[in-house]
Order: sequence, then structure tokens, then C-alpha cells
Amino acid sequence: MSDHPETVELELYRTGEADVDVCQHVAACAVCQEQVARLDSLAGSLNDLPASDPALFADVDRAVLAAIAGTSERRSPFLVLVRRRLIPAAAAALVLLGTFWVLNPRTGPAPVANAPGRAEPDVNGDGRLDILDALAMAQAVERGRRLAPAWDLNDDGRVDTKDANTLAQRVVSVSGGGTEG
Amino acid sequence: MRRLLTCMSVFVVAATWAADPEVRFVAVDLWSDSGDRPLAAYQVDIRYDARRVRVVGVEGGDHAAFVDPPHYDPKGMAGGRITLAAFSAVRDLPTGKARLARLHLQVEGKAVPELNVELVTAGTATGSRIEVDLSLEPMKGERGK
Repeated sequence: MSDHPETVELELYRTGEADVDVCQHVAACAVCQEQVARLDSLAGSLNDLPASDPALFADVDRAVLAAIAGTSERRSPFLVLVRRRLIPAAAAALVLLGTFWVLNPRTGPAPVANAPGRAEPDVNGDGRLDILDALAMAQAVERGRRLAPAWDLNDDGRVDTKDANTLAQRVVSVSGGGTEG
Repeated sequence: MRRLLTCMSVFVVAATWAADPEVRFVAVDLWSDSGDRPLAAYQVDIRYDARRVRVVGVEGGDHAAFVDPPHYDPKGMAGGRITLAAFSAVRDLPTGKARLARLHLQVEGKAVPELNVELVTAGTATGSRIEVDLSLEPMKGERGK
């Protein structure tokens, strides 16, 4: 179970449609900020793709509409809205998210299961739990970067170098130390 | 007959134990060579024969970045496998060959204990994974230099 918002929620955050709690989380979470930045970059790349020939699609659109005109009943404005706006938007979102996960299959805010009953934070987002996560956490603390509340591994109400050391101690556990994500 | 063989096996084991009862303490150093890349973190697995070897102490290394003892699980001190890991957020990090840690071992018998070290991961200050050469060497001198 992840403490981070799902990618769909991060996409909504990117487009300014996320809930308040998601906004608050992203504002305080370096991992999610990085994910949002990647989504933004990907969306920008898609926008930069060469435009299609609108005339071609207009012809196809007319042909399809003509084909279904004889069978369709009078449609409500709501159905027209769904067909013309929401379905293409949902398809575009699916393509966007699918492309993102294909390009970044291991970069999600995926926690790495380690200690029983609690997921360890994959601080550097590489899908593995190892000493580099402790290093990333310590550097974030030392350099005043944003710290995720989930990094408070010793439950003392703050994230500091003690939590980085706690994480380091967990990765060396011979009984439950994790490496794979 | 089977009981006789069992008794003989026990006798052979006991005779071997009695003939080689020496218990000694040795120290081995964990060295790394990261070339020209500053080493900010490392994690290694060390495996040993738990029937003959027991880890009785873990110390840090020479460089200031890793002078504190690395993290390890005390359960690994007698179980045949111990994982050592350390990180440093300071700016002055070791390059080239550096002594990262020292293991104190209790060894039974006169034979040289066999220990195998394997790199789990190592990284630079930017978090980039790097390959480093690892070696375990008997302690040399007072501070292993």
C-alpha cells in the first residue's frame, strides 16, 4: 500500500484538477514532485508531435457519422458531450498514462516491501531498497529539500538523519533486508 | 551395523575437533577501489563458513566519510552471512582504494578462513550506481594501512 497518490491523481494535479489533500501531499513530497515533472515533460513531448491532417480526419468523421446516421436515434446533449468530449479525453489520458508507464516502468512511487506490516520508502524511486535510499534521504535532510512524511521511519514526528540511519539499518537486515522492488 | 557407523562418524568428528581445537582471532579489512569516482555509499554481502568463523566485531574504515562502523545486522555475526552498508552525506568522499571497514573474526582451526564478499550496490554523491572493486585482506599494521 503506497502513501503516495496514484499516477492518475498526479496527472490531475498537473492539470490543476486534483483534490486538496493530493495538492498538499505533492507540495511536501519530493518524489511526487519528480513524478509530476515527468508527466509534464511527457505531455509537452506529446504536444510537440507533428499535427495530423485535419482534412483527413474530417473525411473519416463524416463517413462514420453518415454510416451511423440511419441507425441512431435522436441523441441527448449529454450523450453528444460524452461522445465528443469525454471519450476522446479519456482515451488521450489512457494513452498518456500508458506511454508514461512504458517509458518509466520502474519509476513510480512504489514502496518496497520489507519489514512486516510496513512498506519501506523507495526514496530515490528506483524500485529497489538499498543503501542508496538512505543516502538520498540523508542528502535531502542535509540540503533542506522537501521531505516526505512517510520517511519518518522512527515515528518521532520528524524526518531527519535518524530516519536515514533507521532505513540503513533495515536494508542490512539478514532476515528481511530488501533489494528488489 | 548402521549404529556402528553412526558411532564411528561421531568419533571421527570428535577426534577432528579434539585434534584441532585452536581458536584464534583475526581481523580482515574490507577494501574498495572506486577509481576516480567519489564513493558516497556502499552495501556488500559477506559470506563465511559459520561452522568455523564467527564475526565478533565490526569497525569502520580509514577515511573520515566511513570512519564510523557500517550498519549491520547482529544476527549475521554467526549465521554465515553478514551485510555491511554505510553512506556519507559529506562532501569529502574517498576515491581510489580505500579501507571501508574491519571485521574481527573468531576462527576455529589453523586453516585460513574463507570469506567471500559481493557488492550489492555502491553509489556516488549524486546517487548514481557505480561498480567498485572489493577485496578482503588480512589486517596490516595498527590501522590496516
